[in-house]
Formats: sequence, structure tokens, C-alpha cells
Amino acid sequence: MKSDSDRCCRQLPNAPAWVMHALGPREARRFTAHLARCAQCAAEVRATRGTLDMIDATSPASPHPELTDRILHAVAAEAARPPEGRRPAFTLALGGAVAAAVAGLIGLVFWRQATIRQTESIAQLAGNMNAQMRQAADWIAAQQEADGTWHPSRTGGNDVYLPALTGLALLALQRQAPATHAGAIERAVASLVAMQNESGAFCRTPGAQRYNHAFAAYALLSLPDGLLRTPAVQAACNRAIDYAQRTQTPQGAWDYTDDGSGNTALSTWQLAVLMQARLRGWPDDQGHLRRGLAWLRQQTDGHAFGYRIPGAPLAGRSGLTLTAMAASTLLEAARIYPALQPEAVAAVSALNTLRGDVVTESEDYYRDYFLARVSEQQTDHVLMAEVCTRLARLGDTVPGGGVRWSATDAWGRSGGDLYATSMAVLSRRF
Amino acid sequence: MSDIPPDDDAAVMAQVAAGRHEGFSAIVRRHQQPLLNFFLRSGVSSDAEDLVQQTFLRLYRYRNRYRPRAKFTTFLYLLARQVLIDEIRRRERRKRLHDKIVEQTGIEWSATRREPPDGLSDGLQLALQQLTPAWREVVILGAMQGLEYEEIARMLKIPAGTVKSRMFYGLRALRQALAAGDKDHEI
Repeated sequence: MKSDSDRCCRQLPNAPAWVMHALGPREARRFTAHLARCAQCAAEVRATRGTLDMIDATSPASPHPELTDRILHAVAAEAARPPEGRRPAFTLALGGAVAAAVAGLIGLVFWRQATIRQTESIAQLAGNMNAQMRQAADWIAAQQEADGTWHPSRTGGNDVYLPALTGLALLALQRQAPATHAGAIERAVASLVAMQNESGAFCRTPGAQRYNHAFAAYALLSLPDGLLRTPAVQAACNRAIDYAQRTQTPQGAWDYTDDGSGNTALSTWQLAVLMQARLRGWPDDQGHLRRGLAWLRQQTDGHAFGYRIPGAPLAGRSGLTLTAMAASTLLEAARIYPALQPEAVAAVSALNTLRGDVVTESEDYYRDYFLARVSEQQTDHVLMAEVCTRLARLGDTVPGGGVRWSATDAWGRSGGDLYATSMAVLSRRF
Repeated sequence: MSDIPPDDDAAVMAQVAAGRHEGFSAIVRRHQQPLLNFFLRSGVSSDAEDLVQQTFLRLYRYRNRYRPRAKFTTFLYLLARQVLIDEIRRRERRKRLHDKIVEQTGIEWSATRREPPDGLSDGLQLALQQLTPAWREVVILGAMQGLEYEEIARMLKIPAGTVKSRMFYGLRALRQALAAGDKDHEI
């Protein structure tokens, strides 16, 4: 007969199970008796208890307070989704582009590397951009009016877009230098709250109202908690969200006027507002966000996103900017509705294919902002390098201090250098 | 009829499957923190809450497939484990693509914004990462998440005896890794 000490090697694995009450009653009784005679197993039991006590003593992580709501809304959205067979054909159409895009991506990498190798090393570029963007934030802050707003006309833009540009400048300062320019940020927030009218809009000019609203509302909803949770800002955000919801068409889109059938770019910005609201804790009880996303997902021909006019081919210049906007929006939306992930990936693939087809060396801060967003969302270093290299080259040092970007693209007439510089700051993603 | 009486979660799941969703929030509230810690201890930190959300979404999608033959947590962690595996595969794919791009372009992204390091930064987490995946999984599920050996065996489709031995070797290895970590911090 073997002694207990001989059996210890075989009995030792029972020690944790005994401590954790995982042995059956008979096995547990046998091991309890064995323990009295086996120093090795007794030591193993003590050591196991010590380890388990140590594990118990570590504080478990707590979920973010908004997590429950986020999950329940995602589940509610899932519950409201049509069954698989009734999904729009777009999923299949764009899905077909995925394989082609993956093949294209590898080629794209080779195509881009020659360009990128000609530029500074990325580390150097990042260092230069850090300094450049700090000075850009200084320049933006220096353009602020005493009342906290920014006037686009002072830098070549149109003052009808004052709320949008105030929002854009606020976003740029908040992103680049929130501590250095805390005072400017607070004044900007106060000015936006003050200029909001009772309808929730930030201006009364027909035609400009929706863009102004989107930029201003998005800026407020992107504030850090300390500012966002103040009663005045909360109330302004409530009104702004209400406005966005009220102005949505029955099909889920937004347009410049109430009788419009839907404008893809404008709708994307309004979706950004509703998504930001959702991510910051506002519910989407009536499904405006879901309807908006469903509409956006239809604004494609499977190769690019654009402006869809019934009976006509998809319009929208090269489609690159709108596809970048849609890809970025769907990637963001997939954070709330994970089921959208495949369509977001398909949109990114479509974007990558377009990037191989379209020359992007021209200046377009609006396009680059969305390309930069996608590059960050996808950790696409090649795209990030491409955008940042282009931007770094275009920044001008201003006599007397600061760096600014000149508004030489199609949007410059609306926003001026303030738009270009703010977009450049917001496009810096490393 | 099952010989395991349905616990509250199982009863709620039966209601959800029947189209009454009110109780689902109670399941979310009850299990979101343990699930979050499961993902964190398994080495995912940056997107752990997203993975919790995905797990509940899968739970909802599979509401009609759930049968209270086993404990509810067995089913829940089975889904969580699948979410984790999918996430790990996704990250590996992404890393391979990233490495390929870096290799082909020669770009060194020293100043790139990086995702936070995976996992918690405490000594326990570091020690956990030194375990073999098979041992770590059993230690996390049993010693940290409080699942019973039988549940773990059912989940991982391994005999209960294998759970017992993996737990033993896993805890031993964890202890050694913790002791080694303490030594590293001695001056």
C-alpha cells in the first residue's frame, strides 16, 4: 500500500478544488482526511487560499455609468431591426466591393510608399506638427471677438456662417489646447448658448441654418463633462437635439430647407450631432439616429457615396469626400450599433479603392478632415501620413505669431482661413 | 423538463424570448461589471466595454436558443468567450496588416497615438499574462469570475478533471509569477 506522501503528487491538484468547494462530497471528505496527514497538500491549500485572498482583494473595475443605457439602446435598436432577409440590397452590393478593395489595398500601399518616402520621416513630421498645431491654436484664439464668437469675414469667409465657424474654432481649441485656451473656450461656449434661438437653431438665415446648427451643436456636445453638464449647456444641447430631430425628413435625411429630399453631406453632419448626443448619454427614443443612418446607407451605388437624385446616377464630384464622410460616420455608428460594423468596413474598403483612383494632392481641408478621421478610426498609418504630410506642407507662419492655413479650397469662401486652420487642427490625428 | 430549476436570469430570458423585454435591463445591470472584469482580466482594456455590449447583443440575438438546462452564467460566459476570441482574431488580423504596411513603407510611427496597453496595469494582471492561455482561461473563469468547475468544463468542452488540473497548475504559475514580480520591485 502506498503512503500518503507517495500519493501527494496525485492529490495536490485537489487542493484548489477543495478550497473552492469544487469537489464532490465523497472526494471532499477523503481529501479533508488526507490533509491532516500530508504537509505538502496542507501547504498547497494555504498557498491557494493566499492567492485567492489576494485576487479577492483587488478592486473590480466598474463600468462607465452610461454603459447600461448604451447596451439597452443597442439592444433596442437590434430589436427594431428588420429580419436578415429584409435588409437593403446595399449590404450585398457594397459587400461585393470588399474583395476588390482588399486586393486594391495592397497595390495602394506600394503606390503610396514612394510618395511618403519622399517626405520627412513621420516622427519628424509629428514633432513639427505638434509645434505647428500649437501655434495654429494660438492663431485661432487670437481671432476671437470680445463676445466669444469668430467672424469668418475677418479671414476671407462669410459671416452668415458665424455660428458654424464659432463651433469649428471651439472644437479646434478644445482638441489642441484646452488648458492654454480655457478662457477662449468658455467665452465661445457662452456665445453659442447666447446665440441659440428658441427653436434650437443658432441662426435665422434660411439656407444656412442647418449647417450652422450642425457645427455649433456638435461643438457643444463634444465639450468635456465639466462644461457639458452645466445647466445652460445642457439646456442648449436639449434644444439643439430637438431641432435636429424636428428637421429630419420622414425618410431620415436632412436638407437645407424643409421641402428638400435629403442632402448627404448635411445629413452626415446632423448625424454626427445625434451620434454625439447618443454617446454622451442622450437617448434616441424616437429612432431619429437609426432612421438617419438607414437613409445614409442608401446613398451609394456600391462604389462610392454621393448625392442620390431619383432617376439619376449618383452625383458628387469624385465621391471621395462623401465616401470618407459616410465611412467615418458608419465607423462611429458601429460603436453604438455593432451590427453596422460590416457596412462600415465595406464603406472603408470603397474609400480605399477610391483613394487609389482619385488624385488627392489638391487642397481640400474638408475632405482631409474626414480622411483623417477614418485614418484614426482604422489606425491606418499610411492614410494618416498622407493627410498629415499634405497639411504640414500647407501651414503658413504668420508674421507676429501663430500658424494658419489659407482657405484656397472650395469651402474657403464660406469659412475663410479660420475654417481651413480649424480643419487642419482637427485633422491632426497623432 | 429540466432538473435544474431556472434562476431569475433564466426566467427573464424566457420572458425576453416571449417578446417581453422589460427584464433584460436587470440582466444587464447584474452581469455587466463581472463581464467587464472578465474582459479586462483576459487582457483587453481599450475596448472592454464594447465587448460587454457585444456580449449582451449576442445574448439578445440568441434569446430563442437559450434553454435553462445549464446555469445562465455558463451560457453568458460562453458568448463572452466567443466575443473575446473574435476580438483577439480581429486584433491579430489588424496587427498583421499594420506590420505589413510598416514593413512596406518603412514608416516608424514613434509619435503615433497608440491604443492604451491591453489589460490592467497591476501586478496581478501582469502575472496573469504569463500563464498559458489554457491555464489563464480557467483561472479567470473560476478564481476570478466565480464560475463552478462544472460550468467551466461545460463551457470549454473539457472534462471536469482537466479543469481541476488546469486550475491547480494555473494558480501555481500565477503565484510564482507574482512572487517574481515582487522580487523585481525590491531594491
